[in-house]
Amino acid sequence: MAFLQSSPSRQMIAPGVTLLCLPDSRFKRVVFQVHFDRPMCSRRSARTLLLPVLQQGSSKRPRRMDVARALEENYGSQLGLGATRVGERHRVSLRASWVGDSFLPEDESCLSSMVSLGRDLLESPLRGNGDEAFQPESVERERAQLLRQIESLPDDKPSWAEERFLASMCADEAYGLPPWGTQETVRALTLDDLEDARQDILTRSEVNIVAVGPVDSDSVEREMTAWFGVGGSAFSEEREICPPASTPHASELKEFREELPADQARFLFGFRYQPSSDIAEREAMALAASILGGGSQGRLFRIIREERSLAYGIYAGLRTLKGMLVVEAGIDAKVAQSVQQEVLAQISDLAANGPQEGELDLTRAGLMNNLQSVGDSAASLASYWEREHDLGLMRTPASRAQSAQRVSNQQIAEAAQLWEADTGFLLAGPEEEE
Amino acid sequence: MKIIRTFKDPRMGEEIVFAEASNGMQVAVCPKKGFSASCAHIGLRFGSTDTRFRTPEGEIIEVPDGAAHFLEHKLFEGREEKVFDRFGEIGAQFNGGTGFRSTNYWFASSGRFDEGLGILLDFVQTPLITPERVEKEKGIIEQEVRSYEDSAPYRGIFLLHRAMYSNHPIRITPGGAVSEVQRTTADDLQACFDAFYRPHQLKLVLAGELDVDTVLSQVESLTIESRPGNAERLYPNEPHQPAAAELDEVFPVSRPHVWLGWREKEGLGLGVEALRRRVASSLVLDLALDVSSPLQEDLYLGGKVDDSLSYHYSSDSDWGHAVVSGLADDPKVFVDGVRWACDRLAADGVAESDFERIKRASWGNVVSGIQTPGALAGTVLNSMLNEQEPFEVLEVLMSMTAADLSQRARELFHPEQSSVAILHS
Repeated sequence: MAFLQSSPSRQMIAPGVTLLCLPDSRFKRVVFQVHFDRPMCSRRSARTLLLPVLQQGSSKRPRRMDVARALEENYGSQLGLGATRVGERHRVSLRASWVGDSFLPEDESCLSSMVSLGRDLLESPLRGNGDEAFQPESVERERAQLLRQIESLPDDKPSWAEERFLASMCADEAYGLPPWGTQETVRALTLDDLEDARQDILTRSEVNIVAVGPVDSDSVEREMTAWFGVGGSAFSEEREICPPASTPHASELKEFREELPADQARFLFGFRYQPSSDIAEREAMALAASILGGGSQGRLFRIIREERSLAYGIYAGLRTLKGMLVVEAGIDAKVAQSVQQEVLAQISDLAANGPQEGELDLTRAGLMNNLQSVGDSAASLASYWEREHDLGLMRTPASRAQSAQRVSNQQIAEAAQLWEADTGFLLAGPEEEE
Repeated sequence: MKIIRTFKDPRMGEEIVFAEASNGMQVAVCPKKGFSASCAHIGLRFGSTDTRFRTPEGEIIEVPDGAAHFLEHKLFEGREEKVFDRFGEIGAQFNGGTGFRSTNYWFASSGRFDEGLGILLDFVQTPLITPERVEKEKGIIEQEVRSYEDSAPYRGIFLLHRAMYSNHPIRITPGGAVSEVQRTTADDLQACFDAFYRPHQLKLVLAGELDVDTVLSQVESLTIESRPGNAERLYPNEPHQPAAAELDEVFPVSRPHVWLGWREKEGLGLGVEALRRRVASSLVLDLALDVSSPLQEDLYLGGKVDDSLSYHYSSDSDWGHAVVSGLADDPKVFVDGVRWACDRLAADGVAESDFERIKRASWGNVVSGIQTPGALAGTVLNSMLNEQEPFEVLEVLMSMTAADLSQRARELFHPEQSSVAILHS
């Protein structure tokens, strides 16, 4: 089986609105996503609260239950709104999936009804009495829930450690901001703030639409043009392309330790680098990170887990939009310094000497397998092309494989030389004093 | 290799060839064209609850908690070369998992599949377990166990298991406590392997762009000699009622985490009847607590539950229980609210229109849910381990009636079978 060589059809539906469509009849479910990107600005709290409010119902389906029942009637389709951090963007996503037509009774199809349902939620919210933008009781209920969720964040220790690490390492950057804001900003939101955020999402966002699976590309284009194109309800000439994330250099190694009752400490170690616009250098950077900490073949796993038994798992990954390499592990707090020193030693070695014999081949074999497998599920294809779109590259898996095949040991060493140690972070229980 | 039968399901668009190797290993091949990766999943009915057993030779063995999970780790070490490295050389993805009653191992690769199959069948059939290797692994497993111990959902569900069951080994986490890991020996693990990892107990499922005859021949060439005999699992007697109405534990959480469970008086064994009960129980939970339910809407709008509400039904041959969990400032309000919704459903019964809607949704999810070779292999292996036909869930679903679900709701939500577990700071 060859690498996937084809790209999705890529169309500009309107200024700032891109449609990536990849029909594929091998799959039984359609994956459909509409991503609205805005900067990680002061409206992020409003966007975060807005999404659960919108999911309480629409003018056509005024109860949350009505929306859920419509999805069940649609053969168990799924649809939801969520927000996440993507580089320094705040991405609001409408995500849906439904059964492909060939598995449904004759003459049945879900595309139009699912797009209509998604549009309802975003464009026809349930209004309050009089001129109120939303139903106040609904907003207050969802606000209380969001505040409780923020309060409960430390209960999920790996996620909390990640947030505290980003806040420490990127204290003056948008990347370090919590996407939901703070309890204070959530409390201060008014109904009009939410409506302002909704209008802002619909009219000023950069929009990327991804559709993969058993779907007709003409039908998708028609539906999306009717929504975002000229004359469509979400047509706008005010869309703003989000600027790329800042990628500052590291200054000196900062170290942070925070305490939280926990049996196991969470260790994160962040490095900075300047992402290259050169395709070959980007591939070398990806391979270098994998050699260091990409799964069970990574050096850190082999040395820190297998040889020294210091961790159950330790991995390194790139945040390519932000120019960061992050090493993560769950460890005993007493060995944090040993682990940190070993990470630094391995990076120094990789930068000075390049990969050891066989390391590059092993890592490349894993990458090739991953690239070949991209086309095996609609979800992984959607995710692959969303990421390529974010990077502005649109490389096919085949072209990435070609680039990776050409990477040399020297290029790996040069990539590792770009990593600048920035922040060591440990979240540990108070009883685990060193 | 003897081909037993070919199974076709036009609704799912899948075909499966069942065969048996000369040593008794059960094999299923699922040809799936157009996909880059092919995969192999192998599993057996031996899991974390199997800590006391009589060997086929008649000896009674008792091993520390977590032995099945520890053994899974040791198998991945291979004999001479680490399995990690061997799979790495061919670029394959791989993993394993230990459940209460089963253990499985899998790999997926886009090329060199025959090499991967050789590695899989080698390390699962012929491990090398030495005292040195066991000692070295203890630190790694300890870190894994400790990472789970920090998770409120993990702590809470096992607190609920201890409330629902008096003696059943499902009370114990699959990894076991750190102290149990520390006292595990190579002899313990070898005894488990010898008793349970016998070729005729292994189920192997292959899926992807595969030629059936070729791959079956390859499997036959990779099998070891048969070792007849079955170990007998020795489980403690379990009363029909819960061990405790409520248990609570102090744990560092921002808000109380609450679990509410209803346990069956007994299991139904394996096979289609167990599947029928599991499907009916899952649908009953949906009808009471899914966002599409007016009962859930009442709870949500009344502030008794929030979006942290979740539920599931879990079962095996000798246990079954429904679990509802969520975060709540006042656990009593949460528990009373959920009980009210479930009791209402049991009392009012299931409306025909609700039943048809939820059946339609379930049908769509089943028919379209298995898309990749990996998902197909995992599903078929699961059905083999549970002595069910592949995709039998569709027949079960289509044969069900609203009256069946009403009856199931009345059986399941019995107040005397209910327990509560609360984590609070």
